[in-house]
Amino acid sequence: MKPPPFAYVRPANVGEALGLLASVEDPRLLAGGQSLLPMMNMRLARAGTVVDLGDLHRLRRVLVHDSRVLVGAMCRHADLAGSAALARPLPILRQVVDHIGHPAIRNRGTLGGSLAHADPAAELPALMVLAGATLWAESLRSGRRAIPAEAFVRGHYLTALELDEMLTWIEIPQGRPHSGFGFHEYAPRAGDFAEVGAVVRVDAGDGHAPLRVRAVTIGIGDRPHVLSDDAPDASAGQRQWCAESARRLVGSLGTAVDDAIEARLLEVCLARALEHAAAGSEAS
Amino acid sequence: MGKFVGRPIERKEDARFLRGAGRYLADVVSPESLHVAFVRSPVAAARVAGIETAAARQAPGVVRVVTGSEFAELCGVIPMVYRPDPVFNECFGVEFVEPEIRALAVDRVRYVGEPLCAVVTEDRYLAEDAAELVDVTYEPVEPVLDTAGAVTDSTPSVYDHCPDNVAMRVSYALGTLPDDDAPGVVVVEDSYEIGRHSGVPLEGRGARAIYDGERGRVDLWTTTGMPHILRDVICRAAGWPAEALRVVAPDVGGSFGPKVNIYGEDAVLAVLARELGREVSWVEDRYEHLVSCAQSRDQRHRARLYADATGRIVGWKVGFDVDIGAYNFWVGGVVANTAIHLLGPYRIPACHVTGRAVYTNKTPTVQYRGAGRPEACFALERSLDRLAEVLGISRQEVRERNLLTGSDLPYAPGIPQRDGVPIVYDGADYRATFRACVDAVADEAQALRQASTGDLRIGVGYANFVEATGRGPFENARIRLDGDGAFTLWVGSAAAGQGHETSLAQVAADVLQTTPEAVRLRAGDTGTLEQGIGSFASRTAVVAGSAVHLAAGALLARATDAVARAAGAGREDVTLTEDGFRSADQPAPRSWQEVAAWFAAGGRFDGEPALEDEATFRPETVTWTMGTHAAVVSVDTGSGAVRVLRYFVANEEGRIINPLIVQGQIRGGVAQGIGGTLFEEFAYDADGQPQSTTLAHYLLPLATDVPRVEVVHTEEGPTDRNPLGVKGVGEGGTIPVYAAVASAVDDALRDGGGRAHVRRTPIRARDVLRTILDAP
Repeated sequence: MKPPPFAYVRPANVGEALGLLASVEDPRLLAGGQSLLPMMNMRLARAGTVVDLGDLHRLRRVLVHDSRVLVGAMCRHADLAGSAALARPLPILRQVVDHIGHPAIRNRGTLGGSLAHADPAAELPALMVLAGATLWAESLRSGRRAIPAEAFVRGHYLTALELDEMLTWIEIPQGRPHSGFGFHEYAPRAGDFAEVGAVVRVDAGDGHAPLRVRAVTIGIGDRPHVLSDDAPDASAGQRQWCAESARRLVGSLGTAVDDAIEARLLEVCLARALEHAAAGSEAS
Repeated sequence: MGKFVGRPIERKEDARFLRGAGRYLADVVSPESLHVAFVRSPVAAARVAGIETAAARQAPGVVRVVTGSEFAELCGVIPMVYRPDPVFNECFGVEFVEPEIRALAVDRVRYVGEPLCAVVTEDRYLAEDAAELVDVTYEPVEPVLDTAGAVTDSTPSVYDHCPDNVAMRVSYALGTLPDDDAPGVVVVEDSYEIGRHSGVPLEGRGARAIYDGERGRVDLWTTTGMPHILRDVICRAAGWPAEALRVVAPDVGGSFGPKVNIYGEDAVLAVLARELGREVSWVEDRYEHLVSCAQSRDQRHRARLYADATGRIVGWKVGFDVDIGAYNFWVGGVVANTAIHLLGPYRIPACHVTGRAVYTNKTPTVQYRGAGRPEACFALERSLDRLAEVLGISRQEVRERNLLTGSDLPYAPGIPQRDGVPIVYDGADYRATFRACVDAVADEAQALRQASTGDLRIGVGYANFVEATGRGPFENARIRLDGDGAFTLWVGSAAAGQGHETSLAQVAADVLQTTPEAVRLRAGDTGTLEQGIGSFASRTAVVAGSAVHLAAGALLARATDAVARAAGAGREDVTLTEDGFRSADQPAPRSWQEVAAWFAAGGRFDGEPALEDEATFRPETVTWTMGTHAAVVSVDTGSGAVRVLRYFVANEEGRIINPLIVQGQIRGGVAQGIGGTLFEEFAYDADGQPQSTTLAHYLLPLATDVPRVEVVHTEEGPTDRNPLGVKGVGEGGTIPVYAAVASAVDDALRDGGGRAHVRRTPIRARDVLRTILDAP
């Protein structure tokens, strides 16, 4: 478990990083290294040049503008969990981050790294889709462009990024009032990758009744799936409507989930996440 | 009870281990050492049609590349380690087809991970780079991957000389089984399976070898629990005299069985060090560990339990298969243990057992903590639960009807032990131990049931076990009075974290009326003690402990003689007290320090050898530990996830040397048992590719998965089979966990009206959920 030889560079700023990305042979961006380095050690991944983004300190900031929050791609998971600015649009962020591996992983792994790695079992890509985030990618060749989170993941470990592009900022819109968020996942042990999970948002009306449910799956197929239920019926009581809505959401997935056990686990995760979210939407 | 034996003394070695001052294998590798990387087979079964090493030999830093065929000229076939006693073989109808094992595969590979070439370079990075350049041409053949398919006519053979893939057969027929349709006889029949897993220690394997040209000897440091046997095996394979190899076990970070084994890598390191005249080292990485360190369990049982209408067992019939992978140096031990321990702590008048060990194209196997006993316990305890359900009596009641009591014990079930000696359980009252555990769990279980909410269901399960511990053939100890009045103690069985530096020192300290601090243990070095066996099979406290007791007694006799000579008294007039030797000639006692000074330069006995003696203990046969485990679990009916919430252990064991160490053994054993019951499995795909090659896929139990384990009842049932009266406790913590947790899962699902019956471990949430969804 030693990597084959590779060159190593550590650019001082984004411009330098983009220059290297465009010029060196077979570059791999190191943005935390919690997936790339084990894969290199097992010789499952190879790099001509490892471009270590650890010095791009400007990308480790969280900036708040009126209606949006800009998160630097090099923000570590632990930074996200501790950010007051992010707690407002995404009150479940801390809970979600607490389910990413263990503290040592959260102290190294980054938001941009997780998104660009695009593991279908990862929590943050799903949460960014639910948040309606916009991902900003940059390259020397074509400058800066915006990619909706929903369109970013293209398959197992595949993203919309071009070979010479890197993620720089993730833009998260401010939440709307009367929205509650929920999260639930099933993993065999604490800290393991989820086998199945979901993040959900319940938008409530003035009378606190749920108007609309939006959910994003974790660990189903090759990417996060967006699910909606526009007519939840809350008259039967919270546990009941959450269970029924979860069943409809799973049904709307169609053949994307073909294993009965996986479908059942997803339904349970959705129902539990919805109960959590419903409590949040009533409180807000 | 002595002054120190029986006391909960904190472990002397922990100060070293916990402060990072332990010297593990990687710590003894010097900066000058060469490093070895092994080329390992990427396919489960293939003929090796060619191996091209030219590119590797020219790679940077490469010193030597050795292929299997080159190595075969330097070192022969590795001989088997263990064969059961002829009396046992006769009684159990043992048939054994030995494998042909080479340190590096020559013309055929038999599992993914099998080494077939060694690359020696300046460092491990370069070694892996060069190993990648070795170009092996494999001609894959159809792999043998399951025991059921392995022995049919149409399947391929792992070894040409063993066409049916059956490595070993055992069978015995004790008494007569009733006819199935005999009036009043109830029969329950089912199949049970324990998946493939093993002890995965914190420290992997490793070896470091240096050739001492002056002595003509290779010194091999390696992560082993049995240095003497390893020395003998390597010397036999390489054609060396025993003097040509010294094997040393440094601090070893966990063994659990897998490090009590013969590995080809050790032989390669020893031979290369001698050939190159330089230090060569190999420190296994976790990938190598998970594909090539020996695995275990992987048994399937077809079990039929016969009882009368009151639940009394009248017959027990089991056929079992053990998937031993490409080979198992201890195959006789695993198969015999399973066959013997199928009888459990119960009155079973008739028992017919047939067992087979089957070669497959998977990683070789070994004896792992329990070594066949967890599987036997699982089949019997699961069958008892099934019987209780069929008869409509409680799981406690069916056990109470059959457990051996004070009026049955000692009890001879009617078969011989592996050593050929007829088994006699030297226990006190197994039913009383069971009752103590059942009583302890009752209130807690009730409280947890009442507190459970939502989708959580609570269940309680029980399992009983017996364990043959402290087997021979022997262990040696040597002890010397040092110049400072303290003692150096040598034993052959190397430690891997069991606390021998404390427990064996307690034994010696009581005999010598000194303190455990004054007894320094040196274990696991063939250079300082000529013969020894090793730490496994719950035997060190019993066998090495007794040898220490005897050696300390012999040293005391010599010291008493010396004091008598000095005092001009008869030896019967000299007595040892806490303060030193007392004799009539002077009022002040003579301390050990004073006696030691007599043998130093200028001392009274200057020129005589230092006081030193040694002893060998050969147990006549094993001694039996018994215990009951009770698990309280929750099952999440939404996800199927099982959590062990509380755990209780009641043991009937012998005299206890150190209660802290015993409790640690039990708690650690339960943790490993929970791992095997809920998480751990070496999975293989349909081509024989291992699927559990990282610790993200081979799931070990975490602190969050293991509850507090309460040892509620420790009945002392001292044995007269060794001078200390001790019994082994190294494996009992693990043996019944599988059965106890499975029983608790059944119980939890019964609350929902279901009729679950767990037949296989690990118990996967997915399988539990399927049972829940399939329930009517």
